[in-house]
Amino acid sequence: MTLNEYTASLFKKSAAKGVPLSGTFELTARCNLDCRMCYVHRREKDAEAGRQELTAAEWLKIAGEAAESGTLFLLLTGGEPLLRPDFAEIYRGCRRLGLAVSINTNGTLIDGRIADLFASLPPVRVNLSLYGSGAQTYGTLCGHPDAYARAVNGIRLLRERNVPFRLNFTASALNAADAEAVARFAGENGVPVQTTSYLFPPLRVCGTDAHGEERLSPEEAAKVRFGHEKRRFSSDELTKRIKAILSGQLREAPERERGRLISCRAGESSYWITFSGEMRPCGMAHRPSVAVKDGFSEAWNEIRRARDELMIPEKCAGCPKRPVCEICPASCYAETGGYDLPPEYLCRMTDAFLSLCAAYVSENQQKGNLDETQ
Amino acid sequence: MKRNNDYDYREIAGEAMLIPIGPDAGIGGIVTLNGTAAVIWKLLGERCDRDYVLSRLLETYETDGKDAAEALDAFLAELKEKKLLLD
Repeated sequence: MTLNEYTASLFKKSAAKGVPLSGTFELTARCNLDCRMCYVHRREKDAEAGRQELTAAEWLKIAGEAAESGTLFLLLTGGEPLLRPDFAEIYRGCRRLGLAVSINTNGTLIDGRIADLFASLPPVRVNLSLYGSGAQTYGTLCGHPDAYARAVNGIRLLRERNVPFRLNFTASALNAADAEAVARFAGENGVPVQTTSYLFPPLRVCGTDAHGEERLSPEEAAKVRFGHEKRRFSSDELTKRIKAILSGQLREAPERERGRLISCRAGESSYWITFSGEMRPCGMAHRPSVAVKDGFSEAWNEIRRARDELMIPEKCAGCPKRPVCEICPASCYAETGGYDLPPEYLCRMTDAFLSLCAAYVSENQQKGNLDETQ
Repeated sequence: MKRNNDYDYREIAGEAMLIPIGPDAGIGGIVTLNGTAAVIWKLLGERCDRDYVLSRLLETYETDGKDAAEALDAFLAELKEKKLLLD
């Protein structure tokens, strides 16, 4: 059995037994960068946000209860988690509890001390967000031109110590042009890059009036998604995949599909705890939301119970394009403020993506690279 | 010999595993254990002694002593190779 198969099997057993196998601790909402598309977006010196943060002792108490309840995989995220002066204490404490820890970071605060910590006590993986390919993009998008050099230095420190990491690239209107260059940089450094083309409206920052001006148009976002597909797969693999997409055969986990009901692991075997100690099914779902300070198990039971209140619209549940659409209850709520109306942004993005797939097949057939039966 | 304390034994959703929790856990990741391996690991926690573990196994399982000893020795050697057991 491969590691992926073992992990999938563990998630399946956990779902059946109601075990919270995977969790995320949002250690802080604050960040040293000022990325315009950020969905959390509290500034480094935001005293109010700082006051709401749980202490290291509180996080470790929750971590102990989580481990006791069956949590194995833990993601430490933010904001920027390395902004916390007690990050190392929290990280070490979580590792001592037998948790398999990953970290989300922008990489700009990785210095020799942090890199040595990860080298001596390796995480499962560091997910390092690289927002662009140079100082100009970092200036425009993150408000800190110098942050690019600091992120690259963080990458160097991790590489020198063989700390496992990957790059994340989140495409917005202000950095989409850098997608290819970031992918090249990742290739040169021998690390994988994960591209996110769909940005949720920043509900937590702006409420339901959020428009997400920093987002790409749906059609541009579809181009970024298609570009990522092209880089991920060889020509033959891509062709097979696109044919499967166009024929409606590409379904990641058909056994999990449940009509209008939520179909991912959120609230089933995974959870998210906000910087102020609210447990939610995932980072993008704003409800149910249960204070975890009064007991991890109680909060988890409530999240599990309320999970089936999260839905997608009836029209989306029966849509033949659903397997390639980013629709989920959280994205639907963030886009429309409810669970009943199909989100227009995602409909357009999916249509544009499918058009790009069709154009790719047509173009290759004209070039004679594909036969009609392939 | 002694168990490497930089691994933590955990049972999650009915699966037994050893999780690296300290700097001397080596470069490997999570180690999964089948049922018998999990029993042996726990017995090693009671007393890290080959003969003690073998006697407890023979008390528990209906098995030939020679076969059990050979299987146990092979498993202990594997644990040492993976640095889950230290000299």
